[in-house]
Amino acid sequence: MQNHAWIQEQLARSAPMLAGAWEAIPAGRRAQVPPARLARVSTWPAQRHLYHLFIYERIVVDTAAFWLADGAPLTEAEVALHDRLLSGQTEAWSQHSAEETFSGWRQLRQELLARLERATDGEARHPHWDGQDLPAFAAECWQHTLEHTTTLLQLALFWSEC
Amino acid sequence: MTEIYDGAWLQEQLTHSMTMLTGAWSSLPEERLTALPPGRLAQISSWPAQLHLYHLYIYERITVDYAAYWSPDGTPASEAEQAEHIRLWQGQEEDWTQLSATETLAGMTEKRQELLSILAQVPDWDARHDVFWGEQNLRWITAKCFQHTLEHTTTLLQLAIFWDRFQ
Repeated sequence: MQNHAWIQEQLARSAPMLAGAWEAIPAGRRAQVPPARLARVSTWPAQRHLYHLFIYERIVVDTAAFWLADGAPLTEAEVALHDRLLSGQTEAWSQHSAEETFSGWRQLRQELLARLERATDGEARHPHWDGQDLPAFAAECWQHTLEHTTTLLQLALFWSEC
Repeated sequence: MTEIYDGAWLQEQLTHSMTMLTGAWSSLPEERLTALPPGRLAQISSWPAQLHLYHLYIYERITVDYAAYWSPDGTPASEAEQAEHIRLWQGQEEDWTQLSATETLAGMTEKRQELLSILAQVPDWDARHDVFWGEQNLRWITAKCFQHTLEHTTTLLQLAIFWDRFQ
C-alpha cells in the first residue's frame, strides 16, 4: 500500500465523494428499499448504508486512538459497545433522522482525519484490528467508504431507470 | 441540481478517482495481477486484478468515443465504432491477456486524460443523445463513469488489503 500521508489524502477525498452520492439521492427515496431490479446492487435503503458508515466511523475513530501519543488499545467497554452498535444496526438505523446520521458521520470523519494527523507510531500493530499497522488500517477505512459510496451512486443513477 | 451532476465537480472526482485507481493498482504485487483471487476473496472478485483494469480501460474507450459527441464539433459514434465497442465489450474476458499490465494501465490513463480534455470543452452538458447506455445527457454518463471507476477501485483495494488475510 502507498505511504500513510497518501492514504490520508485519499480518505479525505473520499468524504466529498460520499457526500455527493448521498445528496444525489432524492430525500423521498433515502429510507426506501430499492426497487426489485436494483436488488443486486443493494437490498438496503440508502439511509441504512449511511448509518452503517456512521457506526463504522465511530468504531474506527475509537480504534485510531491507539496510534496517538497517549494511546491505548480499546477498553473492554468500548469493544462491547462496538459489538452492540454493529449487531443493532438493522433496527437502529431508522431511529435516527437522515440529517443526524449524515452530520454524525461528517463529524466523525473530521475526527478520524485529525487523529490520523496526530498519530505518532504508525508502525505499531493494533491488537484489535487484525494486528494491522496504521497505513493498513487507514487504507481499510478508505476502501470501506468507497465501497458504500459506489452503492449510493448506483442507487442515485439507476433508480429512475428501473 | 446535486453535485454529482455538476460538470466541474464531476471533472474533479474523475481526476481524484483516477489517482485512487492508480494507487489501488500499484498496491498489488506483480505476481498477483493475473492470478485468480484465493479463498474467500473469490466471493468479492472472480476476476484477476488485471481483468478489472482491462474492463475499466474498455469502458473508458467507449465513454470517450461517446463523450466526443458533446464536443463543439461532435458527431455521433460511427456504426464502425459502435460495432467495435460491442466487440470489445463482449470479448473482454478473452482479450485482457493480450495487453501487458503496463500497457493496460497506460491505456486507461491516456483515455481518462482524453475524457477530461473533452469534458473541459463541452458547451452543453444537458443535450441528450442516444448512446451506449440509451438516451442520456453527459452529466449522467460522466457520473456513471465516476461510479464505475470507484466500483472497480474498491474491488482492487479489497484484493490488495485482504489477499493474505482471506486465504
